[in-house]
This record gives sequence, structure tokens and C-alpha cells, in this order.
Amino acid sequence: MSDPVLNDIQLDMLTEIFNIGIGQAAASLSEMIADNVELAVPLVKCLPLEEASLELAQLTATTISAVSQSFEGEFSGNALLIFPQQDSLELVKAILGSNVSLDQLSELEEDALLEVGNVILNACICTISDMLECEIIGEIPTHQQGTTLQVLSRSSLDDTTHVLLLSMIFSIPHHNIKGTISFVMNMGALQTFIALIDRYIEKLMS
Amino acid sequence: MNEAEHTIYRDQRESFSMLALELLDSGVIVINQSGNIILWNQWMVTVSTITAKQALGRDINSVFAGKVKLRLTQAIDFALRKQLSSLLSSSLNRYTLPLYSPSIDNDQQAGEAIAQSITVKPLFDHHGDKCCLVHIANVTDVIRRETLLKQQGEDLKQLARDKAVSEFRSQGIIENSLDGIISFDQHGLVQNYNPAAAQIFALPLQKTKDLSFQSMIASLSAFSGLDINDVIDSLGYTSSHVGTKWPETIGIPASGEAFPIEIAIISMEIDQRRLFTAVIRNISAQKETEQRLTQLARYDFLTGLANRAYLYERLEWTISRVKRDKHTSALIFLDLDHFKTVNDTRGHSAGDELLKHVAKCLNSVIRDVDLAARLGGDEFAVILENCGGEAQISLAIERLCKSLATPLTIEGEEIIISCSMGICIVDETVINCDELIKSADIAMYQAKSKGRNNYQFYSAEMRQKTEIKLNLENALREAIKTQSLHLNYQPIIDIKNKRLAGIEALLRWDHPELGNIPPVRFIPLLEEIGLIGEAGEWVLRTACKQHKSWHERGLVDENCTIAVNFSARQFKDIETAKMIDSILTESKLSSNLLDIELTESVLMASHRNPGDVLKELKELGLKLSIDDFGTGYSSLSYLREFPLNNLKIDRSFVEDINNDNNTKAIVKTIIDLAHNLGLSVIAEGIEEPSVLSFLKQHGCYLIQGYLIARPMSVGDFEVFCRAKSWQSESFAQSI
Repeated sequence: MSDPVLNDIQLDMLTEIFNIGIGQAAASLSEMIADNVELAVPLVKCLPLEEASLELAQLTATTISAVSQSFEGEFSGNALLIFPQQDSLELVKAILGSNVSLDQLSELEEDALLEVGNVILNACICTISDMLECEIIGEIPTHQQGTTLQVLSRSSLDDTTHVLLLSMIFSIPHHNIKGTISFVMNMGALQTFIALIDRYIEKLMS
Repeated sequence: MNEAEHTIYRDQRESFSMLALELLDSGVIVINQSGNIILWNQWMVTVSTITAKQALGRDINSVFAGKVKLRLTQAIDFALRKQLSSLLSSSLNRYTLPLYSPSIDNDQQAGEAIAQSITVKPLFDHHGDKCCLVHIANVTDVIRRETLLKQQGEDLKQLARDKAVSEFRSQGIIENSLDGIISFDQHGLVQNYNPAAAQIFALPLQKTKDLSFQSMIASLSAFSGLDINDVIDSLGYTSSHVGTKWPETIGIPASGEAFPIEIAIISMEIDQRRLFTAVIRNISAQKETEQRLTQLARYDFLTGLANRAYLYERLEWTISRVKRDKHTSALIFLDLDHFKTVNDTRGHSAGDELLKHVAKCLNSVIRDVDLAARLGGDEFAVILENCGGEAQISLAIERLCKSLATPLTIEGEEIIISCSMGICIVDETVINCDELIKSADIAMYQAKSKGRNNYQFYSAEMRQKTEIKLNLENALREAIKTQSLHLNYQPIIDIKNKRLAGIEALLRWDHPELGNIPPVRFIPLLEEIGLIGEAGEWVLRTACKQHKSWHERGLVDENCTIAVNFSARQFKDIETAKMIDSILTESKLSSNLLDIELTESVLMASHRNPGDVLKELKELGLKLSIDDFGTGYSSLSYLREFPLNNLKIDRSFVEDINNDNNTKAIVKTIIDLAHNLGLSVIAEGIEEPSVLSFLKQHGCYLIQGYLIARPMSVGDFEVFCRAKSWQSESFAQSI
């Protein structure tokens, strides 16, 4: 079994793919909230679950708020959009507009976050399936809270689970919110995924 | 299963699902690959006012308006193009509410401001073509619940949120429906059911054996021999008959107790076979709550009878029925006689037993249409519906009295109860509920004042009297407050020794409008309103102080007494002796100068041994007189036993002396009797000189009456005293 860690070319390619996908999501969100939303993915990493949870804690916070969406198809797994818990509140406030009181906010937070996460994750999954020319069926998102390890473990399928970490910057006027997208896949799924990326790179090169 | 069977089965399942979709309490839209609507369920029709006919075949984008349109379009695009599911947040919808154009031709935004969560999922039809399901759940209830719980703390709020999320997650509509969904054929044979139905009817998750739908529903099992289509139709279960309120019946589970359900059934012809789909809701919890609330709100906890609130509610109904149907009903107020005594002497549990017994008696006598209620304490009420006139009501009441008269054994002891009842006839003239209750109450008090254990019909005259009495009562309270009651003094002259032997203090009330009100009218009122003690104490104190002052000023001689009347209530009060003692001390009046006048009936009505009370009074050194002697229970034995000083011959005898020889004989006998017993005898009410000479002739020398002097104010009395007219020659001659 080859080492599932992605090489630099593969990672560069993924960064490019995700930036395209997330660009679409940003456009959708901008329309949705009638304001300019910019999203960028500066970095992609692939790590085993425990390491990923440590890395994730450094990128975001120990306690996180996540929108999780499972997907099935040629490779299966869970896609997660992760924010530090306190930032998720700010994000929602930015999305809903400042006329929403803080009191209402906690009530709405999760609900609005689900839809935002849904749009972003769907955009990512969609781009992946488009680029890699594979069939993926996405499920309805759910909301999770806890430590990075807790959240990732809950999404893991077995102990060979690896996490594809995409750090992301969420820019809304007057707000800069850092978030992370994680794809949690087991070894089998990851290998299929890598194979599909290789096929895509090959196609581009030829 | 062969191919043909498989197709039929699949088709059936599909029809079954389609039928169930129509009854769901959420919106379901299915869109084909080109973005056109191919399914638009009943909920969507109701909410959007776009009919299925209008919606089918339309582009989904032409149906939705507002901000949601964009999000929905994107979600549908994800589903159709990429098979990705989406969830549109209800909180975003809540702030961008207009969801539907009311009509496709009209682009105006409208629609109800309800919070909705929208799920968009990719689907494949049975040809394998892509389509898209839009499920719109009304989460208003979830949000309302959440708001409610929010007040109860963060923990609970978290729970509610989990609940809301779990509802958002609901994907398979039928599988996850909380409503039981069961399909069955024309013979009532169950074809299929969802997990909720399995749970409701305690069935295995997968159908394992043949089940008859009729046997699961109580109202259908009664007609198991008949055509099921006709039966459900005539019971109003078919969806076309079902309005917002579903029919209710009883569900019979595979095991366990039957439970109340709501039911709606759709029927459809498929391949010349009739297939039915029933949607069933278990409403046990709802029913229980309803029942408990009704029970709490309407019935008395102890007796199970209706409570005051429910009685009032029923009375409104009774009044309107009476007005409409032109018959008469009756309201009876019933108060147990001496219930307090039972409660005090036998304890509260005995009292409770007694109340339950009364409730049972009431229930045994009244008809189903009537209502018995407990108003609180020992007060009950009965409504007799359409009960005829007084004669018939009296019959019913006699029956009730008879039932109540059966002795009741509580803790080995027999208790016999009686009650006082007031009846108000409910006819077209009744104005309102309050009026009616007041009238019955007045009649009941009338019954009580007539010596209990009887019943009185309310009359207008009764009301008038009550109102007058009520006015008097209020004026009397005011009089006591403002001390506008006052004492008059009437002398008692010893004509043999020509001296002022005593003075009787008499309470007077000058009403500002009604003038002088005689004591016979206001003393009983004072007793009734419970102010007699207070008034009596005031009388005693005032009289004693006055008398002391007269003594000190030499206006009366050292043996002249002051007489004060005592009522039955005062006499019953065990603190009376103490009160008298403290007033004597306070006024520094020597106790042998105070003469307490009691009537025979006061002595007899005392629940304590009257001898003991009299002894207590006697020990203080007081004088005791029997007032109005000869009119009450003139028991000779008490004359022997009780430590009395004076007998006062009742004025009715005195006034009659001239007219009747028998009276003369009686008066003579009373005088002799008193002398023989060593008692003084006083005659009051003397107005005629001839009467006086008769009394003098027979040895009665203590005289009180208009002939000598009327009751007088303090000033007049002092003038009278100074004149000492009783010593003058002219006085002796005039009498």
C-alpha cells in the first residue's frame, strides 16, 4: 500500500480545483446576502486523523463549530466546514445583517450556518466531481460542535481515516473570518481520490 | 415474485406513496430534469393557492418569488446536475418571507409569513431519470417550541435545537413521518405500513403476517361484514370529507390498550383494484392532556362534582336554552346545616366523607341532563333542566331531602345531616347568570334564617327585603364605625319606698334617613353580621361609666343598679365573664350595681350549660334578671336552679291586665312565684294608672314604663333625677 500522502503537484492541483469551486460558492453567497463575499483557499494538506485534529486546532481553535455533509459515490466520506466557535457567530451575524440582535443570533446561528456551509460544501463537492469526472451524491448537512478531535472522529469511517485539510479565508466587508474545509476519507476512498487526481493531471498534461 | 407481480407491487407502492403525500402536513414538490414541476401536493395548494393543475408542467423558477428563489434555483441545480442535497435555512426564510406568488399569472409576492425549512434532494424515477424532490417543512411549531423552551433555560434550549435539527434532517418523507401510514386493499387486507404505523399499533417493523385493517380501528371493526369503501365513506374518513379537523376514533394495537386516533383515508383505483391509504395520528397524549385540563378546570377534586367555574359555564347554556325553548329550569343552592360542627368535632376527614356523601346523594337524585356542583366549603348547587313548575321542583327536592336524610356512618358514628336550599326558577325573565346566582343565594339564606332544614323559592319580594336588609346592615356597620348608636336610660322606680331602684340602659339607633330604628330590627342584624359582641361591649362600657358618674355625682343613691341587656350571642361567648369583669374594673363600678338582663330563650339557646355561665357571672357579684318572663320557655326548674335576682314580667302581660282576667291571674301568679322564691319582681311597660294600682295591690312595687318615664337621653335623665318626682306627693297621687 503506497503512502497516501499527496505530493506537491497533487496538492497544487487540489488548491486550484478548490479555489475554482469556492469561487462559485462565493458568488452564490454574495447574491444571497447582497454583499461581496470572497473566499480563498491558500493551503491544502493531507494528514492522518489525529495529526489533522492537531493541525486543525492550530488553524482554527480547540473548540470548533462544523457543518458536516456526507457524500457517496466513487469515493465516500464526509466534508466539513469548520470555524472557531466564536467566529461562527460573527459569520452568521455578517450574513444575516446587523439588524439581527445578539439575542436572536444564537437561535439562528446554527440554522443559518447550515445553509452557508451547505452552499460552500456543495460548491466544493460539485467542482471535484466536475473536474475529476466522477459521480458523487451529497447528503443534507448537519451541525456539530466540540473539540477538533471529537468532530473529526465523529465523521471518520474507520481507523485508516485521513483528512484533507483546506484552510480557507472568508472575507465579508468589515469581517475576516478564517475557516477550514476538511474532507474526511478512509484509506480506500483517499486512494481512489488520489488516483482520480492523477488521471486529471495526466489529462491536463497530455 | 415474477416480473409482472414486481411491477404491480412497485406501482402499488408508488401509488401508496403518492396518496400519502397528499395528506402530509408539509409541502412536497417533485421536479423533472428540465426543471418542470411533476408533483405538487395538497399542502402546496393550500399554502400557495396555486392548484396542482396550474403548477404541473410549469418551470419551478416561475413559481417562487423573492430571495428564496435564488437559493432554491441553486439547490435544484445542484440536485439535478450533481445529485447534491441542499438545505435552505428557515432562519433565513424567516427574514425574507414571501415565498410564493399567489397565482402564476400574477407576479406579485404574497404567501403566509410562516417559517419554513426547505430540503432539496436528488431522486431517480423508476425509469432511472434524474429528478429532484423539494420538501418544505413548516417549522413554525418547532420554532415556537424553541422560543418557549428558551425561557426555561439553556439546557432545554439545546434540546429543542437538537429536535429542530433532527426535523431538518428528516429525509424520507413517509419513512420518517410521525404519522402512521397504512395501505390496505378493498378487503381490508393491509398491504404496507410505515415505521410510525408499526410503532403506533405495536406491529413488527416489517409486515410478517396478514393483517386486517378493520381489526385495527374500532369504528371499522363493528362493520367488518360490510364493504369497506362504503363504511369509511359513511364514517366521513375519506379525504374529500376531511377538513382541518380529522375524524377521531379508537385504534386497536396488536398488543396493549386501545388509544384515541385521528384518521383520514384516501382511496384510489389501480388496475381495477381499489387501494386505500390511511394516515393515522395517535392522539392519546393530546387527549390525556385535554382531559386532565378539563377535569382540573371543571370539576371539584374532592367530590368529582362540577366546580363553580363549570356551573357558571353551564348556567349560561341553561339560560340560553330556556330562552330558546321556552321551558323552565331551576337553579338550587344548597348549604349543609351545621357542617362546621361536624368538621370541628369529628375532624376534617369526617367532614370530607360527609361532603362526598352529599355529592353521591345529589348524583343519585338528579337526571343525566341535570348538573350537580360543589361551589366550595359545604355549598352545593344543582341545575335541574326543563323541570316544570314549582310543584315538580318541590317533588325533586323532597326526593333529594329524603336521600340526604339517610343516616351516614362515619368512623362508627352515625351522622344525620340536613340542608337549607334556595331555589331560583330559570325562565325567560332571567337576565343573566350573575343575577340568577344572586337570587338562588338570597333564597338559600332565607331558608337558613327560617330555621334551616327547609327550602325557599326565590321571589321578587324576597329580593326587596334582602336589599332593604342589606342597606340596613351597611348603615349599621357605618353607625358602629361612627359611633352614632347611643344609649337611652329608663328608670325603674320602687313605689313602695319611693326611690329610684334602678336604671335600664337601652341601645338606640337613629338612622340618618330612616329615623329611629327599633332594637327588635337591628339587634338581630347585629347578631347576623357578627358585630353584636363589639356593640354589646360598647353598651356595657358606656352604661357602666355613665352609672359610675351618676353615683359619684350623687344623682342616684348608693343602691341604684344599672341594667344592661345581653343577647344570646354574647351569652354564648365564653369570654363574656372576663369582658364584664374588665369593664367593671375599668369603670370602677361596684359589681353589685350591675344587673345583667337575659331572656329565657337566651338561657335556653346556650350550648354551654347555662348554669355554669350564670355561676361565673354570679361569682363576679352581679345581679341577674330574667327579662320578658312568661313568653319563652318558662321552665320552673331553672328558677330553682339558677342564681337569679329579678324577674321582669313581660310587657305583653302588663299591657293586657285590664282586658283579661286570665292575664290578671297569670301576673298575680308570677308575682307570688317570685316572692316565694325570694326574687324581686319588676313590671315593665306600664302606661295606665289602673295597671299600676293592680300591680301595687298584688305586691309588685318595682315599676318601669311610660307612665313614669320614657327612655331618656343622658341630659334628660339627669333632669329627671334631680327633680326626684317619684318622691313627691303629686307623683304618689297621680299613680
